[in-house]
Amino acid sequence: MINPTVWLYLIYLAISILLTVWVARTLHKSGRIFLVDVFAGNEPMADSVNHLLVVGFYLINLGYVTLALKTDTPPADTQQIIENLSGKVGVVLLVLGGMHFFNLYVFSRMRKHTLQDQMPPPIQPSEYTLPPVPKT
Amino acid sequence: MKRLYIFFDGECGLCSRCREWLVREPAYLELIFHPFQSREAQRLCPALPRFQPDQQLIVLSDEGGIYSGESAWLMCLYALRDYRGWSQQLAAPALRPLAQRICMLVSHNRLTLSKALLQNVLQTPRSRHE
Repeated sequence: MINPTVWLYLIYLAISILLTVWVARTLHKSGRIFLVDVFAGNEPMADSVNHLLVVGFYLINLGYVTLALKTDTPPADTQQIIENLSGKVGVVLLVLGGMHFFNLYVFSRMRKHTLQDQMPPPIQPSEYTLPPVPKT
Repeated sequence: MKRLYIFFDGECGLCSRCREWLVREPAYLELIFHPFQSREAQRLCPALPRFQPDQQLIVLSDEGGIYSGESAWLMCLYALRDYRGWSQQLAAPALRPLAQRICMLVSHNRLTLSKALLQNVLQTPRSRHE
C-alpha cells in the first residue's frame, strides 16, 4: 500500500534522478569542447576523460541521493510531503551545484597546466648576442 | 627556446645555494650553470663582461637572448615547472619594479648575505681542514 512516506520517496527519487541525469548530460556535452582543448586536440583522450568524469559524477550523486532517502519525520498529509520533499531536493540541488563547480575547477586547473606548458617567456631579452655554441 | 645558460658568481655562497635549488627543481628547459669567472662562460658568451656579471645575474638563452638582473631571475623561474606561473605574475607591470628592487638588493649584498646566512656551512669545510 502506498502511504504518504512512500509517495515522498517516489517523488524524491524521480526528481533527484532526473536532475542528476540533466546535470550530468550538460556536463558531458559542454565539458567535451573544454577537454579537447585541455588535451591539445587529442579527441579520444578527451572523450575518455569526459566519460570517466561523468561516471564519477553519477556515482557520487546517486550515492548521495540514495543515502539521503530516509526521512526522520514521516509526512502525514500533502503539505508535509511538499515541505519534506522541498528540503530534500534542496540539499540534492546544492550537492549537484557543488559537484558541478568542483568539476569546473578540475577542468580549469587542467587547462591552466596545458596553457602553462606552452606559455612563451614573460619577458623579452634586453639584447641579442651570438647564440652560444655548446661544447661538442 | 630549449636551454638557458646561467652565469652566476662562483665565489658567492648564496649563489651556489640558489644554483643547487634550481638544479633540484623539475624544469621545462635545460639549465646549464657556469661561474661568470670561468673560461667556459667566456667561451659561450664573449660579450659577457659588458653585461656586468659581477653586479647581477646573467642568463643567456640558446637563441642568444641576454637577460640580466631581475629578468635573469624571471627566466630562471620561467624554466621551472612549479614556478612558471610566478614568472608571469612577477613580470607584470605592477610587480616588476618590486622584483627589480629585491634582485638588486640581494645581488649587491650577496656576499654579506652569504656570510650572515651560510656562516656555519661555509665554516664547516674550513674547520675540517684545520
